[in-house]
Amino acid sequence: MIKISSFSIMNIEGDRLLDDIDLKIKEGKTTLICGEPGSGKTLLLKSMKGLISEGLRKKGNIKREGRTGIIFQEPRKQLVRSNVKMEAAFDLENLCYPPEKIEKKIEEYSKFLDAEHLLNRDIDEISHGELTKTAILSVLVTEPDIVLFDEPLSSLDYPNREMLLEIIKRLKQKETTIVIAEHDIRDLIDICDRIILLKEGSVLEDGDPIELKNALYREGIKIPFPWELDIEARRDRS
Amino acid sequence: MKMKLKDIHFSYEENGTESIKGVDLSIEEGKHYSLVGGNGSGKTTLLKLISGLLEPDSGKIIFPESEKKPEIGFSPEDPELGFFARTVKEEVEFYPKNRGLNHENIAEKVIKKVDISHLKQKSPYLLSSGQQRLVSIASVLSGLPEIMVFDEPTHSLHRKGEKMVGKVLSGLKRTTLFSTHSSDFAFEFSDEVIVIYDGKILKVGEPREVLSEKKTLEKAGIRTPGIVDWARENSLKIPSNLEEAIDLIKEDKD
Repeated sequence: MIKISSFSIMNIEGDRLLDDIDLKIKEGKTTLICGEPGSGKTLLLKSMKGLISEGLRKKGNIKREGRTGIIFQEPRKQLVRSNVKMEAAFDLENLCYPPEKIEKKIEEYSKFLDAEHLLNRDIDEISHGELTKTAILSVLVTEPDIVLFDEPLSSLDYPNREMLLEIIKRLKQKETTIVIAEHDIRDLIDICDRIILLKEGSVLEDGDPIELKNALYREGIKIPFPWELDIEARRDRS
Repeated sequence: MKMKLKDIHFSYEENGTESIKGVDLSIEEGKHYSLVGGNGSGKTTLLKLISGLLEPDSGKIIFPESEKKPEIGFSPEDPELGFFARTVKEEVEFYPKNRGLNHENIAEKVIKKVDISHLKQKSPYLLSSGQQRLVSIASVLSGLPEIMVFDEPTHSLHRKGEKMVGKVLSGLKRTTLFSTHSSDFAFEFSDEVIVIYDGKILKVGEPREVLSEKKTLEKAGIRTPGIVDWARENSLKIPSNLEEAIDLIKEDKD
């Protein structure tokens, strides 16, 4: 569970990048944070992990219950070692897990992600989709209760998107709390339980994807073509 | 003909695996080309070769109608790689200033065109990834190069931003090439689609023709555009855009 109370973030110039946010992210649910570029979705997601860049000031608080893991938009930026297995072990070593346990966790989660074949590969020689998988593996081995994804789909091609969606579905089945920041919800509608729509750092809408159809479209979120057509055809008739 | 690529080969390491494996391509003056393909198919490498940022190992790039190599502008996939200025305004003014153009005037127009006037005095490094994308696009547009190359110009943009960029790019009277993951974007905003797979060109042709070929799309790892799926499900001919789709529904009802 994540509880966000009267939470704001200001930059040096005093602009409110997040403005007085109150939210509760329920356990075991998949929540989508949407909004146009600069609406604050990545900022809110990173704040949930406690990552706030230098030069930004915060007000209010965020309470988390359980361990949180985050997968960045560019997975390469969160990988620190040269080999996939070593990378997967990094966090666990920092948590002082004994070597046998590290081995076991890596085995368990590489199986869960169909990533066993990657373990002995070098980070520099794997594809973009495989980098994403490696980043997810190194987060999942720590068995987080909450997994945060920052625009996970935007740089992936179609087969890799399918791969990632399958992973998210498996995590959902395990009742992991998932929060995803995205501006393209076409593939996520069936997976998510709730959408939070941000505008200029505030919560504009909060609810069920289908109910928010029109608001999402107005805010420029990518929705399925039939939804878009339906909205435009209605507008054309009236 | 603006540009011709003849049997281009390229690998990042000497005697390493080739990223581009013999590409032949003709680029016509004033046309807009989209380059689509999966992750690692060679899109970025090919665009860098076209832009002159990489030299081919073998093969030739020729400009049949120009005496000297035309000016080519390139917007990288990661916008931050191209930034260096203190403010968005300085960033967009840099290219035209360097080319001896009326930089203040041109930059002002371009900034308006891509709707980033409110960001003018901000540092490009402190913007969101979508805003950075728009700044990167503006920084190429302002230089008025004869050929414009954009690597993933809609990456990190939401639908409104994507449409705006599409309209700006397709409205240019200059030769334009862009790579994209979004088959919807390629469908709506390019004259010709180039499908690349494993360093080779699989297909070149009009969007409606190329992006409705199941076999080609499956092989290249590209999703069928939403509009094509919709037309198929409703047994209608494939419209070229949303407005045409609305007309088709009306006709269907009449």
